[in-house]
Amino acid sequence: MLMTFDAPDANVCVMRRERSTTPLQALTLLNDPVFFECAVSLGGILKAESGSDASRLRQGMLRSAGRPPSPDEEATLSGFLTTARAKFAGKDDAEGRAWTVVARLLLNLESVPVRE
Amino acid sequence: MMMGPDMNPVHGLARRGFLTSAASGTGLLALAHQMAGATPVANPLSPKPSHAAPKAKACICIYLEGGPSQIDLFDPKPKLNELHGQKLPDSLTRNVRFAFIQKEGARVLGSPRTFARHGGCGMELSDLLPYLSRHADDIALVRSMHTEAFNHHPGQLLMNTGAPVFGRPSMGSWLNYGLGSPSRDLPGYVVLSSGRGTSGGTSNWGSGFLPSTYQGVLFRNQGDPVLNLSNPPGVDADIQEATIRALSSLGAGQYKHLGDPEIASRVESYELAFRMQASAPELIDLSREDKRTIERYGLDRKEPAIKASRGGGPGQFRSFATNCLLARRLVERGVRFVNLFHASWDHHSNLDNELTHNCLMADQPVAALLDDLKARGMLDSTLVLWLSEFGRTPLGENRGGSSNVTGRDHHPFAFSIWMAGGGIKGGQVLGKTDEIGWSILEDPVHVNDLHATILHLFGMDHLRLTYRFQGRDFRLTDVGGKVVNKLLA
Repeated sequence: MLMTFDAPDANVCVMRRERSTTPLQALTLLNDPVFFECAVSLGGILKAESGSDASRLRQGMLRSAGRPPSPDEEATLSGFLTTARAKFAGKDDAEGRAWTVVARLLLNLESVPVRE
Repeated sequence: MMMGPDMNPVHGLARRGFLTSAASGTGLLALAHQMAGATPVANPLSPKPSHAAPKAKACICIYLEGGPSQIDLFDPKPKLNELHGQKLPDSLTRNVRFAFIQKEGARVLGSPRTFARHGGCGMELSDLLPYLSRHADDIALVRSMHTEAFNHHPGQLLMNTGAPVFGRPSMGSWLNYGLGSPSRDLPGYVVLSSGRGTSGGTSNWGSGFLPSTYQGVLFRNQGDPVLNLSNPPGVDADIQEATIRALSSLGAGQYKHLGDPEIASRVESYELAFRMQASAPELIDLSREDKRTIERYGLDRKEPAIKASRGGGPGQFRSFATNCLLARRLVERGVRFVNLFHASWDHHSNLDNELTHNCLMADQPVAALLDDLKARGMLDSTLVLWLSEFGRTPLGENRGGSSNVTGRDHHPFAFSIWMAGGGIKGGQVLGKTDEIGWSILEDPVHVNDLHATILHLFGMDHLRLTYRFQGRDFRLTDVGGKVVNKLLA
């Protein structure tokens, strides 16, 4: 994972770490177990929140990106939540799974991950 | 993936270049245009026309980090055995800065290698390269390369990015920027590494000031080349697709708002990641390869035990051979540029043993790659390069005044590389060095000239492939470069 995010070899020193944007980084943030556990955990928190879907999405955005969603963003997130609920309908813990994938989406937002 | 949309004028320029370089569209930019009601703009990696008809469509660049000894591999110098143990005239070394040699006690080091003529062209090659020797008529051997950099990292940057400083785009980035990549489902620029890792690291395949979409994508050299191709438990392909769509849509909004091309690169990387989940498992599954192919590349060869301090430990034979095979599979699937690194060939000491070991590792798979490309009719359109940052000195290295001399120091004034396929005129030796291999006598080729020639083979004029950054147009060849016409078929 360190290599995927451009960590230099342990046996050399570098003056500057390169910046990169690669599909392997996307795969890590989406699918690596550690990042998925974070999504499960944030999903659990959002599911447990009281209030409307809108306010929970707002909470999720605040917790991940540190700012509330714009109206366009809220519409996209809410559309995704609807899709996820429809997908998991009738399955075990459908609501929890829907919020997990919403959290996973939030944690992969451009506004969220590692910033310099 | 660190990025910040700092809105300085440089980003404005980058954005303009990014948008004007695009032509028709998918993904984020398509979404962005739908939202803005503008004309369609493109995936930055969609194929673009070249300046002239190309000979090469893809490149496999085999980079042997550290400076393989040209004197022991490609450029026979029997005179060194005559002069073995003697001093060189002061006039040769007076103004030279060495990395490690102490001038006072430095002595000529002969070579135990034997050279024979190969192919119809009679190319002289070392006994350490028996497999490659069969391809003498396919390769153009350049014995007159020269560079300014005499240490590894600047040398690697110069050879890979055209300048010995940080922040310039590498060859593969320039080619993907200029031409896009025919592969929609795999990155246009893939990096395969074995051994202990290059001292230049990721800066050797960086995209510099170009958008990071054009950066090389490094596959792993142990276990699966690409990780995390499977979705987490409970996430199926539909949800994954919906997630990517939502991320693209949210990214498009941010892009419209901030105009940072790095947002576009990032969304592009997610969309490509999604497509790779479908394409990469097939790419890295070697089980359908012919048994004979696996044997020819030497994936299962026995690795001789050697105490090679610069090696990178056991397992390299397999990983280097696998990388050669993967390189062919990547090019077959439309990837524009494959960079294959191995470290290290930096033989300051123990040269005979370690060079022998490295050649045992590299010779067979590299030759198999040439064979394989040829058999599949791919060599004509695939440029294969064997490069390093410099060569090694005719003088033995007496680091710290040591009298136990078993290696050679860095030599930037004259070294050897070779090229094959992709419009190269094989079966020729270009350039000539003096009788001890110190200086070039004929046809000097600078790194910038090499780059100009590589771009030319892809139908690109190195003077016209530019990117405006910090107020001026930058090129891979910086302010130099001349196409070496003798190398062209």
